Amino acid sequence: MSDTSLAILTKDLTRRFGRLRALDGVNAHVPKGAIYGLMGPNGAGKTTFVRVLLNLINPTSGAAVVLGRDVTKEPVEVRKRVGHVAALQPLWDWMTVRDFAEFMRGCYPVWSPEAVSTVLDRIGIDQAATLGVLSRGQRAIVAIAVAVGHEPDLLILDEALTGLDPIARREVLRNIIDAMQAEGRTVLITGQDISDMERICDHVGFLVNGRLVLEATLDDLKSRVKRIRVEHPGEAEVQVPVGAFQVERRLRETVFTVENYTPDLLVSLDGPGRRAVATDLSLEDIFIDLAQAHMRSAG
Amino acid sequence: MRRVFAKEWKQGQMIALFGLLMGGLVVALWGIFTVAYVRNWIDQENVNGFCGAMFYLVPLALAIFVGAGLFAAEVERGTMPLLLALPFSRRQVWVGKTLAGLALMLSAVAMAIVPGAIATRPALEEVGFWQFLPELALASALLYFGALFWSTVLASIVSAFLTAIATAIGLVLVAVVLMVLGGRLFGPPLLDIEVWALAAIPGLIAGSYLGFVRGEAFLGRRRWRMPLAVALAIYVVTIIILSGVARSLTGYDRSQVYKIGAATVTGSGGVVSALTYGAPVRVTREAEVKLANGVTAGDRRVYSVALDLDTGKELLVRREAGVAEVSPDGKHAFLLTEPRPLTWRGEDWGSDGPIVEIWDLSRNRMTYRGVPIGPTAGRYARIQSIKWSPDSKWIGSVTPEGESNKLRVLLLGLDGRVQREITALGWYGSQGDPWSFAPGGDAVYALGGEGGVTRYELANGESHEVWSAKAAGLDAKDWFVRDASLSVSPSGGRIAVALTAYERRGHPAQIGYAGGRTTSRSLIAVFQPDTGETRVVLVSDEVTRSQALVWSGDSGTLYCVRTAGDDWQTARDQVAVWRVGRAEASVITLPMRGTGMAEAAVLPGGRLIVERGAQYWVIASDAHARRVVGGIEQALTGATIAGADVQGRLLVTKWEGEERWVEGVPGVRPASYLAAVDVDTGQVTKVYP
Repeated sequence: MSDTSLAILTKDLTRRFGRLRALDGVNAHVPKGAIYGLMGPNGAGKTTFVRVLLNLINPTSGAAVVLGRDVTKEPVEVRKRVGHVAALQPLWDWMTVRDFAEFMRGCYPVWSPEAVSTVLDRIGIDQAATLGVLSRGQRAIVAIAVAVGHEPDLLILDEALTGLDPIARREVLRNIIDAMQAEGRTVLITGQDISDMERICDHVGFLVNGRLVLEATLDDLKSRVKRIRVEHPGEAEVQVPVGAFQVERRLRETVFTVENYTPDLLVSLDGPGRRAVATDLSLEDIFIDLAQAHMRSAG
Repeated sequence: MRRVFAKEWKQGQMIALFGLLMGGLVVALWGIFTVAYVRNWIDQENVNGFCGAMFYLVPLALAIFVGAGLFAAEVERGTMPLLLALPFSRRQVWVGKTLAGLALMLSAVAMAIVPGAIATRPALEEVGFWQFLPELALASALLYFGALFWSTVLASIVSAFLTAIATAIGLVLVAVVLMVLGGRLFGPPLLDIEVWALAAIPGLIAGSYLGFVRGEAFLGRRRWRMPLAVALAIYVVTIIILSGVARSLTGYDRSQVYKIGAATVTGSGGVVSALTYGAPVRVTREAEVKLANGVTAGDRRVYSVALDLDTGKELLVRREAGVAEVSPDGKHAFLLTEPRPLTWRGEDWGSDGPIVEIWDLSRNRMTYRGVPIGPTAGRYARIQSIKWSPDSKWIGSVTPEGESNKLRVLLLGLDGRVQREITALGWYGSQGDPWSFAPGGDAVYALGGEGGVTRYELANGESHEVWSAKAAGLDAKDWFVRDASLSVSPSGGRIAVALTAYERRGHPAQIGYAGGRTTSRSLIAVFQPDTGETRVVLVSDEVTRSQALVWSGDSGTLYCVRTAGDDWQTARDQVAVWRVGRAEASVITLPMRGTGMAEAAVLPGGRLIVERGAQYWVIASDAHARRVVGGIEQALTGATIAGADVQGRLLVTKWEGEERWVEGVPGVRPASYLAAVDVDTGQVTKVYP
C-alpha cells in the first residue's frame, strides 16, 4: 500500500479505546505538497488520527503510511521526517528556548538553526528566556518554530494555532506554512478554526465520530456542496433529492444542502410556480451542516 | 538514547544537589547533637543512631523519588507526547531514562552519603553502618525499580511513589513468607530474604519496559494489567529458577559464611556454631557424615550449621540460632532453637517454648518441627543437654517439668514425639550435663538432685540406682545438689560425677548460705556401674565456679577441669586439672588467670589442652604441663577451643582482626573461621568456611 504522490495514506484505519471507536475505518489521502485541513467536532478523532500517524499509539486495525513508510514498522524513520506540534503543547519548562532548540537539534540528523531563529526573532521571543516564564502563545510559537527546525517533509499542527494571538497566527500561517508549501512540503492542520483553514488549506477532510465523511480539495468541496432554496407557493410538497441533508421545510420555501451539486439539479427542481436557487456555502457552513447531519444520522 | 539520557541528567541535577543538601543537613544535625551530647543533653548512642538512620533513609528516599518521577512526571507535565514524537524508539527512550535515573540516584546518594559519612565516620562505625551497605544497596535498588515500574504504568508521581512503597513492603512480606515456607514449597529451606526480594527486580524491570514500549500508559491511561502480569510472571519464574539453581549449585558450594561462633567437637564428630553473613543459599545435603552440631545466638544473620569436618561440606544449614547435631549414623539431624531471644518473650509464656526440628538428611526433608514437650512450655521453658543416643534412635534432653522447674530427662523418637520420660531429676536449675546415654545406647544414666545416679534400661523401662553421693559423705538430708556433671567413659566401664552441693536450710532462698557466706561442697567421684566400686577423688568446701569432665579416648584417664578455690580470687587466678587414672589421681594447678570458664580437649596420646582467656596449656600423658608458646601460641592467638577432630588436630574458632567493644560488652570481630591446628607443629588449616 503505497502511493508516492501521497504524503499520508491510510487504509481502513481503526482505533478502539474499549468500546469507543475513536477512528472507524478512515481512508485518508493527503497529497504531497498539500495544505490539508482535517476538521471535525470535539471528540471526532483528530488527535487520535495524528497520534496514530506518529505511532504514539498503534491502530487497532488498518494501516497508515506516512511519506511512503508504514508508521507501525518504521516509526523512527517517519518521525525523523515529520514535525509535530500539539495543542497547547507543554514543554520542559526548566529549559531555556535556546536549550530546547539545542536539545531538538541533537535529536535530528538535519537541522536549520536559521529557520528556528528567524521565526523566534520575528515574533520577538528571547532565546535566553526560560520556557516556564513564557506565555502559552509564546510557547506555542517556540514549539512550532522548533518543529520546523529539521526541515520536515510533513508538518502536523494538531490544533497548534489555538491560543495564538493574531500576529503570531499570521506569522505562522504566512511565513511558515507558505514557506512549506512553496518548497513542496506537506502540512496537516487539525482544528476547528474554519476561517483559517479556509484561507490556507487546499485540501480538507471532515472527521465525524471517527469517520472521514468527506475528503476533497477546497475548490471541489465548495463547488460540490451547495445550499438549495426552492421557493414555492403554499404548502406544496418539494421532493428533495436523495442525499440531501439539513432539510428545512418552511411555509413557502424548502431549504436543504446537497453534497453533489450539479446545475442539472436546479433544472429538475424548477417547475410551475417553483424556483430553485443554489447558494455557495462558506467552509464553516459546510462543516457545520456536514457535522450535524452525520452526528444526527449516527444517532 | 544519549540525548534522552543527557536531558534527564540535566533535568535531574537538582536531585543530586538535593542529596548533597540532605547529607549536609545530617552533618549539621550531627554537629548540633554532638554539642548537645557534650553538654549532657543527649546520649551519644542516640546521636550515632540518628546519623545511621538518616544515612540509611536518604538513599531509600532518593531511590523512590527518582524512580517515581522518571515517567510519571512526563505524563503529569504533558510532555510525554513531545518526547515520544522525537525520532527515537520507545526502547531508546526507556533505556535512556532508566539509566539516567540510576545515574542520578547513585550520584545523589554519593553526594548525600560520602561527604557526610566522612564527617560523621566515628558515629557510623559505632552503629555498624557499613555492614548494612549491601542491604542498603539492595533496598535502594528494589525501591528504585519498584518506583520505576509504577512510574511507567501510573500517570501520577504521587501514585507511583505510594504504590512503590506498598510494593516494597509487600515484596518483603512475600520474601518473609517464601523464606519461612520455602522449605515446604521447594524442598529444603532456600534463600535469604534479601535474595527473595531481589528476585522481584527482573520482573519489575521487564514489566516497566514492556509497559512502556508496548503499552500506552504514557498517555495518562492506567494500563497496569499487562505490565503487572508480566512482572508477576517473571517474578515467579525467577523464583523457580533461583530455587532450582540454588538447589543444584549448593550441592557442592558452601554458604557464604564469613563468621562463625563458638564451636566444640562432640563424640560423634564435630560441632560448629556458624554465625554467617550474606549466605544466599542454605540447603541440607545428603552426605557422608562424620559429625556435627552447632550453637549460635544473638545476630539476625545467625545460622546453625552441621558440618562434615573432613570435607567441610554443610550437612544442615538453618537460619536459626540453635544447636544442630547429626545422628551418629548420619541419617538424621536435630536442630534445637529458641524461637525468640529470651528478652523478647511475650506474655504468653506457653507459646515461647524452644523448638525442635528433626531432619531426615537422606531425603533432605524436615520431618518434625515444633515444641515437642508440652510441659516444658512455661516460665522456665528450656531444653538443655540435648544429644543423640549412640544407636541414633533417640534424642535425649533435660527439660524442666512445667512451672515446678524440676528437671527430668525426656527421650524423643525420630517422629518428635516424647517416647520416654525419665524420673524427675529434681533440681531447681542446673549447670552442667547431668545425664548420659550408656555407650551402647541401651540405657540412660542420670544424676538426681539427691545425689544418686540411676540407670534406666530403655528396653524394659526398669531402673535402679547404681551409685549414691552418700558414698562420698554427702547425705541428701543435709545437702542439695544443684550443679553437676555426669560423664560415662567411652568404654562404658566407668562413670565420673562432678557436682556441687549446697547445705540445706529451711527455705530454698537460704540454700547454700549461712551467716552471710556460701556453704557448699564440691565432689569428684568415679565409680564402676557394674560393681558399684567408687573412688572419691575430691571432696572440698571450695567455691566451685565450673567443672568439666573429659575422658581420654581409651577411657584410661579422666580429666576434670575446674575453676575453684577457697576464695574467688583463687578461682580467678588458676585452673585446677584433676587427672584421674585407673589407680592414681593427681591435681595439676595451672596459672591461668581469667574470668571465664576453662575449655579443654583431649588430643591423641592422651594429651589434654586447656584454654582460658587465650592462654593455652598442654598436659602430656606423663602429667607434665607446659604452656603453649612460640609458633603454636601465635597460631592459637585469637582462637577458642572447639575440640579435637578424629585426626587429633585441635579445632578452634579463630578470629581475624581486633575485637571491638560496644557499650561495655564485646562486639563482633570482622570475621572468623573454624581451623584445625596441629599442636605439635603449629600448622593451621582453615576448615570452614
